[in-house]
Amino acid sequence: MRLPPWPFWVVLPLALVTVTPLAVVGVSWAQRAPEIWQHLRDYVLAGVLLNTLLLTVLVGLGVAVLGVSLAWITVMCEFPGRRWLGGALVLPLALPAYVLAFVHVGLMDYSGPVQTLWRTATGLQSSFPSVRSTGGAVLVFCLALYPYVYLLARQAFQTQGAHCLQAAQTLGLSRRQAFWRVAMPMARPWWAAGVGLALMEVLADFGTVAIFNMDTFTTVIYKTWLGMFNLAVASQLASLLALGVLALVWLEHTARARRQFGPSAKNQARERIALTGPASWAASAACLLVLTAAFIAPVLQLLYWVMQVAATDLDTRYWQFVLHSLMLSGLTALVVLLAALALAYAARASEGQRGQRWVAALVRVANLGYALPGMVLSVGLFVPVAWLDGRLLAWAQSLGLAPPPLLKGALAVMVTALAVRFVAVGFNPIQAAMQRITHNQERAARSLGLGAWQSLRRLHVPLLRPGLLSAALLVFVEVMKEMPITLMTRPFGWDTLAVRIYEMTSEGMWERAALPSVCVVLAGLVPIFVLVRKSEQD
Amino acid sequence: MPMIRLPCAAAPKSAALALLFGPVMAALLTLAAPTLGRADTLTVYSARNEQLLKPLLDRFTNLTGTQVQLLTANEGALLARLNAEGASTPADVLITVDAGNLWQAAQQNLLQAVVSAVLEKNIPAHLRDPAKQWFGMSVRARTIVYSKARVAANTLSSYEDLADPKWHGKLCLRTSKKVYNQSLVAMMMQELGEAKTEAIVKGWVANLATDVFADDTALLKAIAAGQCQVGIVNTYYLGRLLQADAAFPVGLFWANQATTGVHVNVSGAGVTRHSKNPALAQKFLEFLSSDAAQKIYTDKDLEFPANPAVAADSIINSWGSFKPNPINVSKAGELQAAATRLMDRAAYK
Amino acid sequence: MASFTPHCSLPTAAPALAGASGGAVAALQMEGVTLAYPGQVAHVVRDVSLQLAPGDIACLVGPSGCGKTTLLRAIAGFSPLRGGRICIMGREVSGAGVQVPTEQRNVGMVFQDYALFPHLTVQGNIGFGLHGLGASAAKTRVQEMLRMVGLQSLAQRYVHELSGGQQQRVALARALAPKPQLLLLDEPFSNLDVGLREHLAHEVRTLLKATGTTAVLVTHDQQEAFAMADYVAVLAQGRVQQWGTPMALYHEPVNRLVANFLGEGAWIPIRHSASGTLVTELGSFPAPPGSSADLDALTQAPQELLVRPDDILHDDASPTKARVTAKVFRGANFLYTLALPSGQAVLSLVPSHHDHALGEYIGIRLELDHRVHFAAEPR
Repeated sequence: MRLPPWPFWVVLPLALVTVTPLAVVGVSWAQRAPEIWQHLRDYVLAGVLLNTLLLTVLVGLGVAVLGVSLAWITVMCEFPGRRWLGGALVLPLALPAYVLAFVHVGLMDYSGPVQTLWRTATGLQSSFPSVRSTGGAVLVFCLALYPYVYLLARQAFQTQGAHCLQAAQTLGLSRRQAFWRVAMPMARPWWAAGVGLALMEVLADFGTVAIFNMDTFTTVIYKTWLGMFNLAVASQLASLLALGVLALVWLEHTARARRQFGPSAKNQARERIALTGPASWAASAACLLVLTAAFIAPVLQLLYWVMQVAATDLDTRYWQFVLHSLMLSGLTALVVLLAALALAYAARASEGQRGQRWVAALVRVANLGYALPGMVLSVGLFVPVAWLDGRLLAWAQSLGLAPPPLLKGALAVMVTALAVRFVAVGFNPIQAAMQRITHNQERAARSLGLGAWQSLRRLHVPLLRPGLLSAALLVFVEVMKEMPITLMTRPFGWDTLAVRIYEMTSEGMWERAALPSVCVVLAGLVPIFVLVRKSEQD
Repeated sequence: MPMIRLPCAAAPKSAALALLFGPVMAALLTLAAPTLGRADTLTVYSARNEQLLKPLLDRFTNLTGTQVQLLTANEGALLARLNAEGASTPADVLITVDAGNLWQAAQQNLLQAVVSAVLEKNIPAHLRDPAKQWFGMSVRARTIVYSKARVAANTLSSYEDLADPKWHGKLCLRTSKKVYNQSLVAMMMQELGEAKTEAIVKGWVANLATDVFADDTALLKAIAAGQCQVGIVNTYYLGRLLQADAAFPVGLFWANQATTGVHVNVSGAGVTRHSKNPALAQKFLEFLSSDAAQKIYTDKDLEFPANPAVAADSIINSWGSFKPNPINVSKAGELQAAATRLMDRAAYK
Repeated sequence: MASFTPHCSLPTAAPALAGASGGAVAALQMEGVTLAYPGQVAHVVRDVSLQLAPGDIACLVGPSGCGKTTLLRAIAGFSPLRGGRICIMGREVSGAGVQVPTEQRNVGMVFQDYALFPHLTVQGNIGFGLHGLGASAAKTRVQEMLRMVGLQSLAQRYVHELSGGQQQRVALARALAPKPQLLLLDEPFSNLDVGLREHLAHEVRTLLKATGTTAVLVTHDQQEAFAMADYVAVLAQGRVQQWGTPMALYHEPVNRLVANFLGEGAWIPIRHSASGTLVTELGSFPAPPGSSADLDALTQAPQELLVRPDDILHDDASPTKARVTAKVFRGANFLYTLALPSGQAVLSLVPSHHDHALGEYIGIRLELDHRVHFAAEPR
């Protein structure tokens, strides 16, 4: 039996690493807990499923509308302030959703400054809609997550080229009709991917929904684990969640199956539609409003809180937190970059060869880390690692050595867990950039004597540089904001900014959580700035 | 087809890079692997905040010369980690912020019994495990708070009374997902039985003025702002707010003084089953229960010391003395899962 | 209040008119059109005026950057004019104070890159502009178009599953389906291989004539222009240099620019005599009536005669011999570059069974039907 060609062997170990926590979670079905399941079925699941569905649908719609419309007007139209607003609208990416959540709740709740001001100024009872509700959560998620859709939709519109829209106009469609019937459908892979990313964040999120005290599938997982002391059932629920996510991904994939979406046509001359009069002011106002709600107001509130506590809280240890956060993000970005590059290259190299479908399937599997909530993923990785470590230790002891445990508690476990979770974030831009390298270019390289490795080094990597940069920056920002995995898998003394935020918010000390939050935002601004500059230049 | 070989001058350089890169990465990644088995190191897994523990750990190090390695996370993660690590765990001590998780840790055979006359003298019996596997170090009382402007203290009496329709639209509660409320309900189940407790919780839910809060501080602020008039919180949250603003318009009422007493929970510690330094760990626990440590442990966070010989902070004292519930806090752990299910049934979010 | 659309009447005396064959309304009428790139001051095209009758096919040719595509886009309504006006079927669509939006002009367009919609099938693409019709009427029309371009079997395919030629036909069908008043084609064949090009050009012309569609084609390939168009305009240096039938442009260019752009040829100096004949190295010919030869006798400006490759015949009996300096095989013919005794180079198109080697001397004879001469360019 002939062995499959090399891409298979590159992709297999990566897929196995991702599958391990999924498998561990799946194995939990071996434990039966019928009473808990009965209780869940009777009192919990219906409401939670409804809630989760509602949240998913509303946030999906919200980020789609927000992201696509903002991308459209900043790419296709001209209005006052377009240039800097277009870039600034990406900034909310630096703000973790849970930070945005506690700032908004703090600002808009009954006892917060806005409503208090209203009551003192008008003397009336403030009957504002409660911010700690599904509506509030949906709003915060939309504001925190629309940049995913925004970034990708912008890319789509920038490379769409003007000719298709002009063709639609010659066929009798007005500009607005052309947007709905041509521009949006053509941009679908991009904004659909953005919505997908946003929804996976929502489904796996714990910090934000905890602040709003919403009951979603993930909160039930944690309640079963922490409240009912049953990790097995919690894992079973997590596996159901993972299945749900997989179903969503599969659905989107099959819906997309036959259609391909045009080459890049960004060099076609495009004239921006100059908006005039009220329309142009409305456009500026809309962008500014979103930016204020999603970034400016929260940051100002955070800075205000920081000034209240900075004297007492800012000490030399903060530099350690910052350093740890930066190191962790950088290291994970590097690891994800290598893994994602390997996956993308192996997938590319296997096109047209024997075993291509296996490789494609394994690549998809390797990208599934997104489907599990962070803490469950950590447990899923921790268990086999601890087992492995135990085996190694036993083997070493049988040889008469007494080494310290090598794997658990080492940075490697944390970085692996984070990499498994975020490999999809790195994979997507790299794969998109890989599509731009034509097969003929690869054949030309082969005809000049370059083998697979050399081709990667001398042809692909230089051409992929923009994609690699995007991937690294995105992963960097994601890891800076990540909390559950960092909390659970970190080595001793390895506290990061996210850990600090958790410690403060879990005790309700929001003011003190402002300082690490601001640091996270600042650290995230640099890569985002680079990303935005790059996308403007493209 | 003949292959044209290109000059490979770059190959040695890239090979060298790979050779260098590999070990550096490996070294970096195995960095921070914990040191194990050193006689002068104690490893603590704690659900209690690092900034609250640090002064204690530093003091312990000063006193004994022992280095302390600390890992903080939430309880579920700590327990899962201890379970996964099994016999090779580096942890010597487990500290949690509630009795329920200590009970659960004992259930899962993660702790070992500690026989210590010091601990038994310093910590009252109802605040430690009957099987000697864990010991409460600080007491947190969860009691009723009320708006001074809108509620007269003599209208308050007990937790159960808050389910009375006269409080309709005036009650604020924290989420049922937080362990403090789970243990409160667990204790009520122990005292009053499941059916009655469920009726009471349903009554609470009916009286809610607004959605439940994610934390006690927001709840207190809501009472101050007038969104509701009564609530149930841990005392130290009110203490913190009073420290910041002595004129904070919310008052504290000790619940159930005529009946079962105020519900208390403990933040406590135990020695892990597979600790490599059990003697040192026991010493640490004894240190935590000592007068000086108790003061540090509780003052910063305005909790009540477990050690009755230690005086509490002045703000706390201003609330007067109270009768605590004398049932052993381990009951909270026993009944926690059932309490969680009960709260689900009562639609208490 | 009904909007007032200005009507364009046919100007009674318009320069370089062609094709207004008795019909009351011109399909396309451009008067003094001046265009510039957006944001720029310098004009790309100046003062372009031409008229096209319904059913005729016109072609704009010229070197790259001469503004022909810009002109096309102005007709489509994508760019405003800097001066002049454009009328389609007698209705002013672009001009001072008027800019009818593209979607209301009923002008079809085939783009150089086809601009097909990748998210729709062939059928979906073709039916895209048929929103005025009912569902069944639209379906019928789509079927009709598919038949017309011969793509019935590919109706359910997606764009990326088609070859270049098939995509081009879909683009054409899509533009023609809503029966536009005017069809614009922007270098429609430039992405196809040469053999396919000629074949398709012929097909497209047949299709357009069969449907009676007025069309304006833009190309830089003169072969295409000659094959497809009824009338050709040469655009150079921002102006229409000449507007007329392909034959007229080829054989009677009005200036050197047009002559050089269309077709090959050589310029031979004229040493003329005063008796109304043009004397050249290759013989003497009577000067065309009204030519400037007599005038030049006064001004002494040297003239050059245009000699096309088909004007020089291979004649072994001729006393004039020229040496073969280069030859290009073209299948049916050889294109020989010949050196005259004076060193002057001329081109000759000779049937390919006359295969002569480089350096050979062959006899040639000049048979000039059209005598075209202009002032010599300064060297």
